[in-house]
Amino acid sequence: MQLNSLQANFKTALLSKDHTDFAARAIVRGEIPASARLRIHQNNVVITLTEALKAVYPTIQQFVGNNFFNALAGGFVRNHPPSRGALIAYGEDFPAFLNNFEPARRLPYLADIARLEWARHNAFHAADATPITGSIFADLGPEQIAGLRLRLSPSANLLVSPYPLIALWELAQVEDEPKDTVEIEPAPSHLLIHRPDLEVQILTLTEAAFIFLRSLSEGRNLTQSYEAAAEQDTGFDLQAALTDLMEADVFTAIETEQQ
Amino acid sequence: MASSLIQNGLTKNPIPVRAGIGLKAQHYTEILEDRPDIGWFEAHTENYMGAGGPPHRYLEAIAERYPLSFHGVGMSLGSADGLDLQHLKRKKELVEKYRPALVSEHLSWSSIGGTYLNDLLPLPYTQKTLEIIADHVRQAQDVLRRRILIENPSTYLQYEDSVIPETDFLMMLADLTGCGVLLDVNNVYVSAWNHRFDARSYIQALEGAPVAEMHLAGHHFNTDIIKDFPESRGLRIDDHGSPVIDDVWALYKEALSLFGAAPTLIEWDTNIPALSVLMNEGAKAEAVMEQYGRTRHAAE
Repeated sequence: MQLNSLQANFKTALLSKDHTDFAARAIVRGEIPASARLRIHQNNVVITLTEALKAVYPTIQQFVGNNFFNALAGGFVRNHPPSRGALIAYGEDFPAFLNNFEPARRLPYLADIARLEWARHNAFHAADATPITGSIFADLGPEQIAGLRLRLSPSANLLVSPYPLIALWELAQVEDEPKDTVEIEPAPSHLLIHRPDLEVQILTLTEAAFIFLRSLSEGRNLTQSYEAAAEQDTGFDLQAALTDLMEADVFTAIETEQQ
Repeated sequence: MASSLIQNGLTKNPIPVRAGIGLKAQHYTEILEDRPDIGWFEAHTENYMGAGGPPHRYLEAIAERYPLSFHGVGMSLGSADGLDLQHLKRKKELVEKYRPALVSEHLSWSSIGGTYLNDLLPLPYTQKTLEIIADHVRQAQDVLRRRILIENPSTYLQYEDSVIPETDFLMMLADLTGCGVLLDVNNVYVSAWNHRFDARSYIQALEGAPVAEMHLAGHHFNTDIIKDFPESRGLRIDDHGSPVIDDVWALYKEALSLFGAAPTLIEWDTNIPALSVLMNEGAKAEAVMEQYGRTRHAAE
């Protein structure tokens, strides 16, 4: 068998549940049949990738329990195996998979908790950047400030959800509490997940502040972003929002209009 | 040739002929606070393929204080459809940034058709496979601008198509590409058990190979399988999750007498214990090295 087709067949055998045909054709039979030998690798693939998912999604595991998580992860691994040899990028599709996983339907907020965990993972590994400080405004006139674009830290992830994600997330950290019977009142979350230094932080924002920040992150200037926020909340306080966000080390660069 | 590459300024801190320990996130702060007397650390390159954050912060601090080796698990040198150039590029950036004294990969494959299986899968040992993996080793060495070491695998199955003994395959690969050999003593033991060959003969068959590093690890002995297949004697599975067993220490002595003392890693990747447990294993390896590892001659 050509190496290419051997490896393609091996891959199919590992990701499917039936692999006896390939095993019989390609693998030497000893006292232990080829299919049992192949099963070692099949287990390696599913177990190690399940462990990788558990490391990124520990809260989902807390919520659904170990057995359910293993079933979930097994299904995900077989349908969405990694495409690259560095697992840091693996598992981005897991929240969407949760959304469509029939047995998880009765926990509709699960996918959003998973998005929160992915955002934390992303922020953890994001590029480092030095935050700017408020003094940067000192040399700028009012018109320059109005046209300013503020760049968010590479670790900044914005997440909106109809569910109270922080409360749910904290609930999951309490051990031995049955999670699947909890009644959840919809209460929207507007979150910024970022890493000012070594630790990932989660900031709960007002809806207007969230809109303001999202607008900035999409490259619009201060005035445009303020207007977007004020549309949601006419009382949106630009100065206070900016001060809070600067203190939280959210911004890493400014660009004036002329640039 | 190999030593000239290592000495041309690419390396920050040479690896001493001592025991090293696999670098784990659990031990970062203890290493930096206590500065334990450990010869060197080996990091899994893929764990540092993120852009920034704590992994890099800690690795930078540790690389300042200890010699470093990079051990790759995701390069898939044995893939029939070529190397992942983006992966290789990222690896090059890391090698240039951290300047590890040793860079190693596996005699195995993990990727095909854009799917990465996260397991070190065995290769059929044929002339054609040798040509393919030799091309990939050369390509990797050209891009990284340095020699790499290739590790013998733990295997659980053999292919009908294999015609070249694994030891010959490794020696030919080293001849063709100038790569070094990372002799994993536990892998030899595991494979020998699983395929009923003699582990000592395997080590002896590598005589003259450019062994530049050794690995020691624990493995899992699966005896449950005997229930299903009573004529078998079980399978040994390389899980790096327990102490090195006595038989592997005995084999290590054999390897030291043949190849001389070499930097030896204590690998422990699952059920990771306290750093002190790893240091005890390391001290044991150094004592054995002292006793059995003759001084390496200049040609090496």
